[in-house]
Amino acid sequence: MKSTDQAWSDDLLLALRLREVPGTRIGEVLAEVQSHVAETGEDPRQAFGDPKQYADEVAEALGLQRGRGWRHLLSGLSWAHLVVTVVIGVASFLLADSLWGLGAGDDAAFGVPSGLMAAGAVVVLAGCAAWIAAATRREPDDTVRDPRTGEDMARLGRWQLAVLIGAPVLALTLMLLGGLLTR
Amino acid sequence: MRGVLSLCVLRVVADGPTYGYAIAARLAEAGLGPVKGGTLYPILARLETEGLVSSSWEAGDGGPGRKFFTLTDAGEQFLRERTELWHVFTERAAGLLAPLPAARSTP
Repeated sequence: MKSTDQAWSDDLLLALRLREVPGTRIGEVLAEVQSHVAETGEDPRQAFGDPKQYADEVAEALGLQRGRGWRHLLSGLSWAHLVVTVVIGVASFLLADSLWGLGAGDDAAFGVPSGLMAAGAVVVLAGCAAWIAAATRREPDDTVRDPRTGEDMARLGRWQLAVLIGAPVLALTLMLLGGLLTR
Repeated sequence: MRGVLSLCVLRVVADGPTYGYAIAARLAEAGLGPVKGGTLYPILARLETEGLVSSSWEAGDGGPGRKFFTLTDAGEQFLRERTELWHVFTERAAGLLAPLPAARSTP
């Protein structure tokens, strides 16, 4: 598949997810598009149109609602989600601040020793990660599977995982180095 | 028109298990014009949701596999009923749509 075809397919996958189409069904739709495009040599946009509009038609054909936008998605969030998001934000800031303090040989925010603050922030962040992992595991399996191979079609790629973990680690390391440079 | 197209799709599937691209080619051959993938697959999905066709993936030779559609018993019954209705309707419409008398001269 060409990269532009892949981009169209990715847009369609997201649009179908937002319309709450079951994962196995999304796999079918994506495989149909791939199969059709391979056979006709057409461009997916030419044959299937705009991914969002196509997702609306698929949702309707399956007896589901058309896309209802971000507002509808936000209504699915609970207070617990909001609280955990804020806790992660604050803990991340305090971790960055205490790493800077460790480098510079200063105390962290509120006069707490940097080492203690950093350890506390790491514990809180680990707790939040565990909470998210547990919540994810409780959800029924809704993987987008290729009906032809049984393969997961929306797997987190190796480099995506590397960026997801690498970017925060790099930022926190730079905080430590920045602190060291002020000595 | 979409309802008729969906009936035509069902009729093509009634000739034996077939897949998307072959259905589109058959419709074009019958003079129903090019039917885009974006129109055809939602029709097939709806027919499948309604239990009128069933589907299974078959490995393709070299290329990606094909999704084959087969008419179900419910689909066959539906097709018979709707085809009957369609013929009654077109006959009546044809009776009404008799050719106009020779063009009237405008005053």
